[in-house]
Amino acid sequence: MNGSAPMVIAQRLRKVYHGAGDVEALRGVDLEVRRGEMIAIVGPSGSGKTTLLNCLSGLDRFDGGQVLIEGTDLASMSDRERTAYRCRHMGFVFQAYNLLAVLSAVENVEIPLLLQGTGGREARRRALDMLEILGLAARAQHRPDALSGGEQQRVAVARALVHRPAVVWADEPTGNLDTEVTQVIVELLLRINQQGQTIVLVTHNPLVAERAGRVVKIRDGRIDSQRAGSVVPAKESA
Amino acid sequence: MTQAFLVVGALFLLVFAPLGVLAWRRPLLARFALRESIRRKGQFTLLVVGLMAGSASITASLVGADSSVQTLTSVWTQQLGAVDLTVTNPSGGLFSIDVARRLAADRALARYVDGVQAGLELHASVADLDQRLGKPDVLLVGFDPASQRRFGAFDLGGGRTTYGGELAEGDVLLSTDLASALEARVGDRLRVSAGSGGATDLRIYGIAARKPTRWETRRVGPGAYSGPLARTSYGGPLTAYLPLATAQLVTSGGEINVVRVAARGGSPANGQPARRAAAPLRSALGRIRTATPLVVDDVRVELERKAADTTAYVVGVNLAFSGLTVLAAIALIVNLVIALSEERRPRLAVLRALGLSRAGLIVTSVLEGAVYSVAAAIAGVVVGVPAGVYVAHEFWNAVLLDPLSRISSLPLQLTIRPGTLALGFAAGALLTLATVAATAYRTSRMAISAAIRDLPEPALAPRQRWPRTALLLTVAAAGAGLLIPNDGRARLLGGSLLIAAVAGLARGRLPDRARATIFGLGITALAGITVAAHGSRFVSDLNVQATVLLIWVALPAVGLSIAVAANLRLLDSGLAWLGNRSSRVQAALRPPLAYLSRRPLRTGLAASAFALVLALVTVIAIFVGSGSINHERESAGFDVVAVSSGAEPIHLPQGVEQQVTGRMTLPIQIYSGPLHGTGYIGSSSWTEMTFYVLPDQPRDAGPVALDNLGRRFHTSTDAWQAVRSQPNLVIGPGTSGASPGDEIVVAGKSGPLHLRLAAVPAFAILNGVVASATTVANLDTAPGGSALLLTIRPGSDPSELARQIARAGFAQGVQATSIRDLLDQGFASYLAYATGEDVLLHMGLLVGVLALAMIGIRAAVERRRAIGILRALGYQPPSLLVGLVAEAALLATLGVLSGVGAGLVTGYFFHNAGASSATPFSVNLPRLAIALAIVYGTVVLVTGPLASRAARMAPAEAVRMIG
Repeated sequence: MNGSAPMVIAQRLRKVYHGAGDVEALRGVDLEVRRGEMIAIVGPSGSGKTTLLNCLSGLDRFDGGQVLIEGTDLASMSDRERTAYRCRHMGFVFQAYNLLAVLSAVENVEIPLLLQGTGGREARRRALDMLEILGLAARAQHRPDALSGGEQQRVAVARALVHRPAVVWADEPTGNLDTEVTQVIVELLLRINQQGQTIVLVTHNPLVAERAGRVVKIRDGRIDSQRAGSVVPAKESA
Repeated sequence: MTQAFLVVGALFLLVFAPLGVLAWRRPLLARFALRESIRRKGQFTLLVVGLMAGSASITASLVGADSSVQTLTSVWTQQLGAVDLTVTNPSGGLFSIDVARRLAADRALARYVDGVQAGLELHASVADLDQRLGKPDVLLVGFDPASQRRFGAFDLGGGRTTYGGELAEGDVLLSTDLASALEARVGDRLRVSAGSGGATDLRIYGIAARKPTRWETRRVGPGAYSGPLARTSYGGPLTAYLPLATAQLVTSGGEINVVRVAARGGSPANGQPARRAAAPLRSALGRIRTATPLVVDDVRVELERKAADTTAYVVGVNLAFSGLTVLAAIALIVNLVIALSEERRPRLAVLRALGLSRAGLIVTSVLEGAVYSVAAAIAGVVVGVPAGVYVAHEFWNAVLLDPLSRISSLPLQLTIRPGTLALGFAAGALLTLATVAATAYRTSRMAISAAIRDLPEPALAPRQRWPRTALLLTVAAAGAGLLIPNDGRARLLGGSLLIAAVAGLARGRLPDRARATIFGLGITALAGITVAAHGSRFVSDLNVQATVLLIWVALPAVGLSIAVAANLRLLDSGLAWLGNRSSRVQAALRPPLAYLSRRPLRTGLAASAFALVLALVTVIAIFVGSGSINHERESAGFDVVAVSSGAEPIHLPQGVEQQVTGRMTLPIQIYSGPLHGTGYIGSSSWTEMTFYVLPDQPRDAGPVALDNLGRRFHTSTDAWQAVRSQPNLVIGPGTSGASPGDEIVVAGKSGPLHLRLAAVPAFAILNGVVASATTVANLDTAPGGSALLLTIRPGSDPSELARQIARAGFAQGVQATSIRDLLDQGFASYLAYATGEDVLLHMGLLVGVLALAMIGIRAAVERRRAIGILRALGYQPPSLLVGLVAEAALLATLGVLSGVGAGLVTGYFFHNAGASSATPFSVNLPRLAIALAIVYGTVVLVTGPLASRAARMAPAEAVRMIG
């Protein structure tokens, strides 16, 4: 851990899925995410990794505890406020790429900018710039079904970064990719983390997790252990 | 209908029986199909409701037609009474009563007939001197009481019946309709004025009920008899029944003009005995020497034929109207099956990976389709029956409102035949299943590895395509060949084939968007060109008009939908322009617009569902709008029409005379004899037709407005001048279905006389043919009174003047009516008929509405993950809600633009093809506005809640990120 102020603080976080029988997915999780950190959350299936990510990022509500993002209590935010907050300060990368199939690559990337009110031409320019950075300039006008899995995930990363969010949340970003493409995506995430981008990712892949600055292991809804990974945190490297 | 039932029923068994066997032999597939179908209860329900529209529409058409035709046939059957055959003088003249006596005494004939009766049938004006009311054009039916027993007893009410034996000379029975029209009572004095004879005073002995005398009677009683003729489409004239001796007082002679024959074993439902008796009757007649040649008329057989023709026509029209609903339902089904197969693709691919063959996959889909189709067909029949009852009710209402209709006492006879219901069920189920099977075949093609991971289908390796090319070239050649003959239907088919083949051949050579545009605009243009060039031929043939109209409406509706859907990407440019002004609007609208513009097949299908129905709604709105009454024009400058059947001229009271500024008198001549007509006029071995004799002056005007002119006439003036100068030209009867160019062949003094209709009025001010004196002089006719048309001073009340004329002339049986009232009554009848057909159209709108609802639900289900992503990225629920509703509104707008556009094109050309119609082109906007309000109301009411629910979905739940 480095010495910068925590960006996200989770205290005694609890989440229960109500159904035929209640399932307590998170059982009092305490976690801090510092600015510029790259954290990998690992654990067996059903341990609560994705639930934790969803609760921390404001995608999901929780049943107990507290999540403070830059000092603001997530639980006190309305859905509208949380949505607006996600729009301005967060980026997301999902396992199944989750690009909108009917939009081209550049149209997918410019969504967050348009939502923030950036003008159409400016949004298009910045989206193209981001795709060029990620080596996808030539594929900008293609729709997702014309892109490979690795290309789709790079478009998803471009979409997560284009509006310069405070945190990028990535849920199994390499889950659908082969080893070679996984390596490309991990290098990409490392590169942007080196540039100061805070990243929290959930992964099953130990090789991916090992590249993070900190590895948080979760089991049965509780943090089992935390240890440093191989990455030098952005602030320290800077 | 029975044949159709047998064919469709056999087909149903042929299809569903093997499916049942398949389900039994492969229970796994059956189980899978069943569970897939009912997995989502809400979706299943909506799907069944959507699919049922086809069955409901077919059932409603058939039930509506059954009831309408059954009621009409019943009227005609009653009109014929117990009479199966008649003997008449083809020139309409009188003949000796000995003919009837000798036929009755003929032993060879006796085996085939139950009764033979001498009769006299005359048209007269009748006045009730006590009630001071009169009626022209009343049929006096002279009957021989001695033989009436064989033809049934008159039911006088209160358990009293009579065969006429106790009636004294001068006593008369009135039909209930005539009694009602005269407000007559038993004992009232009646004055009868017929033809050129003087007036005869009679006394009302009783009112003869229309109903049968006994329930077991094989025919209805004679109280509804009005002769084996139907001068109007919907029933005979008002009738009075007189013992022959009394009737002969009116003619001042002892002769008769008809012999009525009841066949042995005959019944209203069975014309076979009448057929059997016809030949012996002709033989018997041949053995009798008569001064003039007499003929046997197969009146029962003609009635059967007329009923069959009417059934075919009404079923055809109703099915054509419901045809668009069926087409819309097919578009909905294809859309749904494609949507479902896209959603299930990974699951189905897993089954394929586990060893299920492609054929097995199709069987599974078809079994699932069978569940939907049977459920939908049952629901369709349940909904279709009341809808059909409503259609029939409006049809009958239109009949009763028709100024030519003389029926006031017969209610609609609802007829719901099990065979009809079975036909509706089987047709609906087969329709749904066939569509599901065809679509399932198409969607079952998949690359398993890609489908399991929900990746796009890899491009197929180029295949040998020469068989396909050869086939398309053959189709193109066949299509081109069909363009050569000067036949509208052939050209429509040929052009469609040619365009489809060219679009197919262009695959791979032109972008899909260009191909779709060429195809869509091509068939739209084809429909426009063929209707402009050939429409008038179909306008004059009502039997094919409805079917051709269906094709002409459907082609451009689908064509425009395809063309517009293929080019929706142009809206992206507009959105980009908008984005420079409001990025948030662009963000909100881009995803929904992209879903529409980048899935043109599904967009086109959904838009087509609306477009098909709205196109016909628009055409009907044009028909109604263009048929709206312009009283000033339709009245031809006249305000009051007075008619009398007596020989005396119609006298006007002094007070009325002072108000009159113009008049036209037309003598009436009644033609009795054979009639052969083209088009809807039809043929009859013996009928009566009223001829109004046109005065020589003014040369360029007539008594009625001419809306439908023959092609060679540019103006009404041309037509009137031609009718006066050319003896073979006449003005046709209004609202009879006749069209300009139709031919009427009647018996002339020196052989058959061919008369051609130069024009037809839209409204029946005069109930008959208008012809010059020269033309009428060539026919054997009897005097039938006169018609007087009056123009009155501005500011005078025509209704009041009409009442004064009728009061003053009641003793002559003068009937006077305000022309405005007649026009309003005719238009009300027209509207009632259109309202009935509207039910079938609104079923089509229901399909469109359900298509929107389905798209709303599919959007929520299919795009669950996409909505989750958008929410995660920062879309607020209101923004998503606006987007989803905008998508539905845009889709509906596409359907509206395509449908209304197609309707306007077809309606405009069809209107003009109505033989250089003189009526101005106009659209009934309220009618159209109601349909559009339903469409857009649905967008808000149906998609709003669905979209709201989808938009409020928790993002984490939507993207299913499970740790």
